[in-house]
Amino acid sequence: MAFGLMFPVANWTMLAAYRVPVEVMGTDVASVADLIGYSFTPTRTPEYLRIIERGTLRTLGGHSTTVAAFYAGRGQRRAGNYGPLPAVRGLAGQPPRTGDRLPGERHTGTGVREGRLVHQRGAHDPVDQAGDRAGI
Amino acid sequence: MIQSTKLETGREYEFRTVLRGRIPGRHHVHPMLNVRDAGPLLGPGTWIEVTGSHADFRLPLTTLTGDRIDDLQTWGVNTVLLWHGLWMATAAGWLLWWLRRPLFAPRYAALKAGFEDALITPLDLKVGVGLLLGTLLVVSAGYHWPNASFPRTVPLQAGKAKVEPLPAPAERVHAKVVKATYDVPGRSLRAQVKVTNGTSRPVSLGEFTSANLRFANRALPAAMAAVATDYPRELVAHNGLQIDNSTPIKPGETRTVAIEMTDAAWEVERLAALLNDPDSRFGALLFFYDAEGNRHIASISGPVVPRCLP
Repeated sequence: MAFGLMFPVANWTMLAAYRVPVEVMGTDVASVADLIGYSFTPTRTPEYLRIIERGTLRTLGGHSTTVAAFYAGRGQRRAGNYGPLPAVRGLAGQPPRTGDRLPGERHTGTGVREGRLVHQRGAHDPVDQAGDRAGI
Repeated sequence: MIQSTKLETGREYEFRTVLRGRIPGRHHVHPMLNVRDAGPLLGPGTWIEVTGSHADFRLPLTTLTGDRIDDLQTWGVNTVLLWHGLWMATAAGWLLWWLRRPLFAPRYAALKAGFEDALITPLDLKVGVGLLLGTLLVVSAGYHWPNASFPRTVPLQAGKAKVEPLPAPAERVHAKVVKATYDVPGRSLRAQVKVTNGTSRPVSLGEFTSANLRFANRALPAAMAAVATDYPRELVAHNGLQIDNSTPIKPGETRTVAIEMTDAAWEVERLAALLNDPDSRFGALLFFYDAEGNRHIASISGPVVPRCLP
């Protein structure tokens, strides 16, 4: 979620210039982005059919931006447990230690922390065998 | 007009189209009015010729905050490119940091042998933490920089414009659809319309128009004169408007007239996809003319029932 929330903030650097107000036709005040979208209309469907309020720039610039960014991180998290390898202590040449696990993790016998990467269950791992019997 | 606005039904509005050519060529253009929850309404199209060079086109502008925009086409593009380049370079650097190591097979072998802890060194940790802090720093600085450069901004598409209609006519002709059917094989729309002449002069029905398709009463010179010679001919029905009773409607009189609009344009312009929609309705304008040639407009709308058998 924090990763997702960074995007609206980071994008503001390049998008702020398009939110500067301009006077249009002597009567209206609009953003530069609105004026660009109006002046250089892409003549390809469906873009030029969308110059209406629904589903246009307002969707990308309103409160929905923050909400979408908030859930972007959540979606990524729930999409799978294929995050980066956990940063654990240890140097080259040092064998892993039995207690060198994060809380709640099980060692599968392949050196891969369960729930982090696709792995093969160790046929001789008593922990996995117990899990198989339990239907886990 | 950029901003959204509200239009009153039954009122008339003036509009003017000002175009500025940017891309040389021959272009087909339409006026367009986008209606919320309904979609775009297109006006009659016309061909325009744009000459000159695209490279010479400039659209300078001064914002309300005093910023000078030399060309709206390229405004802010350098910042966009620079910002994207920065993050792509950062991502590439982070990727190369790991690509310089042995990749999949050796790492898998190390995992297989139980040397997982050796895959990430303390230097990796330092670089990762540094990159994270640097990213947060750049994002924070990048957020505050435009706030200083552009302190005043406005939301996107948030404004509402108010457009005043033309003065309402003192006298009007009122019309209401009694019944309407569409003859699918005959490509003919038939309707019974109850007309009340609220003007002080007798009026005659001169034209039925819907979706830019015009059915003019060829027996009425004022109606034929109202169809401009440069109006797209494919949108002017050849058969015109058929009326069961062409006698002028007297002031204050209410009469139900039967009208028939037959032309292949209903199908060609894809206006008659009625059979697939159980809730088919139509809307149109009726143009009435008095003896002096004054035009009175009445809008009609109502359900239309398709007839599939001749």
